[in-house]
Amino acid sequence: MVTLQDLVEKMKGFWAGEGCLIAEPYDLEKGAGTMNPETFFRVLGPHPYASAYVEPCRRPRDGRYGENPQRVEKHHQFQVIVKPSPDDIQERYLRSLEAFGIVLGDHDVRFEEDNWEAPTLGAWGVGWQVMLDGTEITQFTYFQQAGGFDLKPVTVEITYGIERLCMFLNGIGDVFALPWNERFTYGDLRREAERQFSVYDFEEARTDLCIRWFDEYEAESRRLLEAGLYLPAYDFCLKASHTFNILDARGAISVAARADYIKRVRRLACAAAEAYLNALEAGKEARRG
Amino acid sequence: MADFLLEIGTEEIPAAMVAGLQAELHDRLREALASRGLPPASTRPFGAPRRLGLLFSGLPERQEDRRETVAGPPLAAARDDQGRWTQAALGFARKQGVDPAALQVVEGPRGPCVGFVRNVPGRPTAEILAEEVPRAVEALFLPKAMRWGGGDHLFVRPVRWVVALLDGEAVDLAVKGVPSGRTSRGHRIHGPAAVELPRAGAYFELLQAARVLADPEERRRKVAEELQAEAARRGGRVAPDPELLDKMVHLCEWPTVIAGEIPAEFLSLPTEVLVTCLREHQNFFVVRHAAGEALPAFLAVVDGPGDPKGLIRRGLENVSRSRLSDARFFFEHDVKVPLEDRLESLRGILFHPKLGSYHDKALRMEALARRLAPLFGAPEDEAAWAARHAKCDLASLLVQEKEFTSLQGIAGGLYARAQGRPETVWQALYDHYRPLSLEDDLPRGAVGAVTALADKLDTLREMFGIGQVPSGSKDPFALRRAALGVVRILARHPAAPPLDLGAFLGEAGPLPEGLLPFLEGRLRFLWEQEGLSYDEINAVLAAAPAGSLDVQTLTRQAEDLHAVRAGHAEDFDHLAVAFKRARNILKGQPPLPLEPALFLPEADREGAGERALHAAFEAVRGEAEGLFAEGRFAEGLRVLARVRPAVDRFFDDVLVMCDPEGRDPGKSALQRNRLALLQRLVALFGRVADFSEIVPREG
Repeated sequence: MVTLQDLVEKMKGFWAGEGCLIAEPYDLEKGAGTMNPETFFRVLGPHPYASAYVEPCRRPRDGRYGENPQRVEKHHQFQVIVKPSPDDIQERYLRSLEAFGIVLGDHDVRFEEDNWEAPTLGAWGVGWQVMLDGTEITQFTYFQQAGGFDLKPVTVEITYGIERLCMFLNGIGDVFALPWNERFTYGDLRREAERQFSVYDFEEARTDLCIRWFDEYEAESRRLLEAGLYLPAYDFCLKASHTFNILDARGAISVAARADYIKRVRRLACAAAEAYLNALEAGKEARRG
Repeated sequence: MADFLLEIGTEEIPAAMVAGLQAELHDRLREALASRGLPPASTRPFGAPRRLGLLFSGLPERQEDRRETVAGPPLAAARDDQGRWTQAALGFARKQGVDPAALQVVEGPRGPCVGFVRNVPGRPTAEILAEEVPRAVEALFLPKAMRWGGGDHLFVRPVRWVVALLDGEAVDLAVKGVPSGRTSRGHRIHGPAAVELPRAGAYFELLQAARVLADPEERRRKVAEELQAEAARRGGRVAPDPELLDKMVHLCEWPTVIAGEIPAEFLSLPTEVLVTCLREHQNFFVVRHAAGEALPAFLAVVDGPGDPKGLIRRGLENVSRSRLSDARFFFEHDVKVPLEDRLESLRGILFHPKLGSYHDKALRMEALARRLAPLFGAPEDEAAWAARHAKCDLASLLVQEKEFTSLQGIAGGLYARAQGRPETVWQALYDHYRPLSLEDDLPRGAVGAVTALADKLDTLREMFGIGQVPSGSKDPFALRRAALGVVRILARHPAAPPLDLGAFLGEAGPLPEGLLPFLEGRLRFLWEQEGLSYDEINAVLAAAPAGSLDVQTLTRQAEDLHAVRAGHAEDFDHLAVAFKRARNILKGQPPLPLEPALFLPEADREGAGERALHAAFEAVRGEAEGLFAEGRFAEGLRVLARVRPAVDRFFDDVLVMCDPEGRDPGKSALQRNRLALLQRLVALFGRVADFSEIVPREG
């Protein structure tokens, strides 16, 4: 048996050993670890950087009231970014799987093309989904653009699905049956939250409020950008993005309006990225690495 | 003679791109070397997820020496009156570093010049390779390119190693910033991290020992054999699926087929749903009985030597169980919703922004089906119901999942069958996207043909109506496929009547511009694929009345023309020559009356000629017209072929244009009469084909 918390410790230990700074989750709702400023901003600019962290991710549309053994509103990613991407990054990644207890020679490991794109962030990359005996356990991406800017040097992003990998390691098909530690299951910690957030996202969320909030978050983000405060501005961009996801789950957004909302979030993200790059150039941002 | 090995080692290249890159790299480098005097005697390209490359054998070790002419200033400026070289010529020699004694007169691009001939020693092949390999790689077409690391290079995936060996010698070159060496890599998991290559020719053997089959054809053979063997062991077979096979071949460096169980609880799912689910989600091949239904086994291709501990199989079975549960949930839910109840939901599914929803399309299809049904001998109520509900499955959960979109039509047929619709109707829904290709089966039954035709004709008419016309490689609405389906159904379906599409589509409103020629283009394509030659096709289409397109009748004409011509090759060649002449002299002539009394007497050579042709024409006309009217084109053509000797004689002996200037009223009348005879002859043949389009095969 491999508990979820053991797995996370192994992940942190392995990547710390590879020279990654171990960061913490960012304290705002978001759909993917990429949206953590630790990734979104750090991939920009020329300076080498490497970090790894757990990121809880909320995807309102994926909620299933805690009744589907494979789908949840909130899951956890383990995010690794390394800039510039090392020549042997695939080998390092495979060693990480071995460090988690997978004997690679007994399994079928495959890198299948899967190009990642986050239209709300003006970001895309090229890479694979890593398949282990038919289960997708990792998204492996060479970032090509973020915030609308071409990236040079290129950051590699490795995103493990923590629940997926843990289910694989334990041969368990039901996420709620995963051992979080020796005493508690994933279901003990998460099932009721899954139920309540599904009710909120699909039934209770007040669309009129969400629409108003979106507009306000967007306006506030713009105002802060003008004031040169791109970090708080990016926070409001994330809030707008999550509010949009709730509206989407609620079925309150038509196909035509969808593209417009995405464009509005992207504009904020791109403006924040531009402000960050300007600050880097002016020497105001810490040149890490 | 030498062998050259190039291997570009990469991270995993997308499966769909390996074959194209492999071929292009090979072609570019072979051509580049040939153009520099170094053609390989034989070549073997290869490509796998982590490598692209080639082995060229029988390469010359160096270029041959050659002589090169260098031209300088024109002779007028290079030589003075006394025939001595001028300062200009001597300056040229100095600049070129040759002795003035070597100067001679050479032919320049604009006339004679001063110049000289020099010997250019051939260069070693390794040097040329070092120039041409990077150039060939840079020129490759990349459908999607990426950067990595420092970001200085663009390629399909990061390049990690390069091997370039000329026999046993490393060729010093670099690809995408990676210097070449003699070290390859084995299988990522099951092979050694480093494989030293002593010489180029040992490549395939040493890589095989390192668990890499670099040649995709070897991988394809291995997978195909193992699939059939594993299926046979379970008493079944695997339906050919070249697309999936190709994908697996390019996803693995050492493919091995392993088998797993489909849990019995899922075997009640329709085979179509089961197979699509496992194929689209998991890349599995499903083992089937000869009759087509699924056995409880799937075959998977893994990248490695097998599954000795059974762990892979367990993992694959777990994943497929959750996928199949989803599919079953969707299907069982969908079957409970009567298709009629889905009609309303089609209002929310857009067919095209300018053409409204699928609800609008369904109503248009129904109207077309009601008109087509009596022509096909299909019950009108069945055809109308099928056409109205054919698109309803687009609103079902199953078809809205991206892995199952390929089941549209089929899914509707399955729902209709489960909901108790008669066989003719559910099959019509099931088949209404057919035929999807030149080889695909036609829809079953008259109701099926009508429904499929109604769908395709509606799409074509509406898309052409808004100017949405395919151009070049752009055909986003697959209109070429739809049009090919239309002509195949009309030409080949047992229930299809002869139907003039021009008239049929014109009845319901003006025909969109370009639609009929587009359909004719697809008919032409169909005939070409079926082995008709282009001149026969031209002849039949040129004879068709403008604004009409009776696919079935034209097809019979074309086939009969082809068949009869095979037995009367010489006659047809002669007739073709004669009709070309006839066409030229008839150009611009109004219809003329034929008056047999005006023929010259039999005793006259010209008179005998024209009388003989007239007699031959009259002898075949009635019979041929009768046969043509019955659609018996082959027999009619054989009858017509009998006039050939008379046609030959006519053109040999008779001067048709005996009064080209119109000066002699008597001769003018003779000329008009001869033209009138030719007009009738051409018109009679023209019932089937314009023979002037036939290209004689004999010199």
